[in-house]
Amino acid sequence: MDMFQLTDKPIDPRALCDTVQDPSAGGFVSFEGWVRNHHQGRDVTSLEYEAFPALAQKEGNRILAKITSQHDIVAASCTHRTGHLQLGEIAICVVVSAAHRDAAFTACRAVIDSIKSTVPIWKKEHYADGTAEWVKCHACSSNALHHNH
Amino acid sequence: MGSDKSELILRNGLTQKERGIKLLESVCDQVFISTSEDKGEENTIPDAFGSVGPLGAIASAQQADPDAAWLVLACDLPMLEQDHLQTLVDSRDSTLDATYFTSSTDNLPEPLCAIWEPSSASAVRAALDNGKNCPRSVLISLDCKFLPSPGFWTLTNTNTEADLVEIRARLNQSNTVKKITVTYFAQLRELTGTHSEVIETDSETPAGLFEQLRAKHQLTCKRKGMMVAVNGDFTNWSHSISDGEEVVFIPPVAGG
Repeated sequence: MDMFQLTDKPIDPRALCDTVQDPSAGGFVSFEGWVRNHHQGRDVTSLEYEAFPALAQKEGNRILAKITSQHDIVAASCTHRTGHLQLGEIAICVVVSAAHRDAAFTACRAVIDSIKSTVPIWKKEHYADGTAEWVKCHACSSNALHHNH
Repeated sequence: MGSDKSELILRNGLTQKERGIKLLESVCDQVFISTSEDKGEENTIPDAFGSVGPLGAIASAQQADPDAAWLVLACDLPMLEQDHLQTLVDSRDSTLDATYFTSSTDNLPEPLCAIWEPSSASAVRAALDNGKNCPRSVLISLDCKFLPSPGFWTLTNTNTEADLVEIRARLNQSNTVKKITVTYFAQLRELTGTHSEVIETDSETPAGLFEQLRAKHQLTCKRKGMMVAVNGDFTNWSHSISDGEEVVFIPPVAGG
């Protein structure tokens, strides 16, 4: 199984945890990213995730392979959800097992940070006032002929 | 690019600065160079308003000679020819605040290949005083004569390595026509209204192709901050694209 997976179905963290279980592991760390009801002062009602699947898969696997080789861990795995998610749903789950806790915490943090910075997945926020916006791309969303600074 | 682009040699063995001076001498009485520091050199106008970019340079020139109309030219326009400047000068309307070409991509003013009349000086200073350093915004606020774009690539700058690769290919005429599949995701999919399209392009790089698509779809997003993938993996903006390749432009990602 790939270390990184994309899915349009709800994520089962317990099942993901099972993929990194090992008799040599004495510590397990997981991170779940949940859909939250606010962002930068605005009321958020739901989130839509869209991926460039082929490259997201490739880049996600590369990140996990690199971090697994750089830290003293047993195994790492991550699943990212796509599609339209409601409040409280799990958007991403990272799991790491290691002989000792330090490496597990550090590696888990490194995985989520790397995935957020380079894996081609985008997020559209839907707000309580009925509007919606793609996060981090305000310049792209403005009217073409309106010059903004 | 970490180097002085005015010193780049792209045409006729001349640096961009030397070529710019030559072009300007064909249409102007006197030519001055805007400089960041005052080194006491002849025919230079040091920035009098600090490091605030081209608008500060324009204000410095207008302060140096308030009665002059200034033909302002960026130092890095290798595709610009003498006849373009002649068109600008011949079309000038000195009763207005400025005469400029419009951009081929977004129809906005091109402030760094434009004639700034003395009457524009107060707006230039007011903008600087308010901490607004965008010359385009000043031109938009003024009463100007605007000319159609002199050509899609004519006013292309050499800001990045990819710009250079694209421009060199066009100057050498080594760029070829090719069919490229462009796939869009997320906001770009919504803005272009399509998930995928086959584009016939003469661009050498994804950077050139992106500029053409910006114009086609009237996109405001810039390359800065974006990544690009060719055939399913990340690559550089200066990659040479080939017939049949698949290109994806990747706006800032926001997973997790």
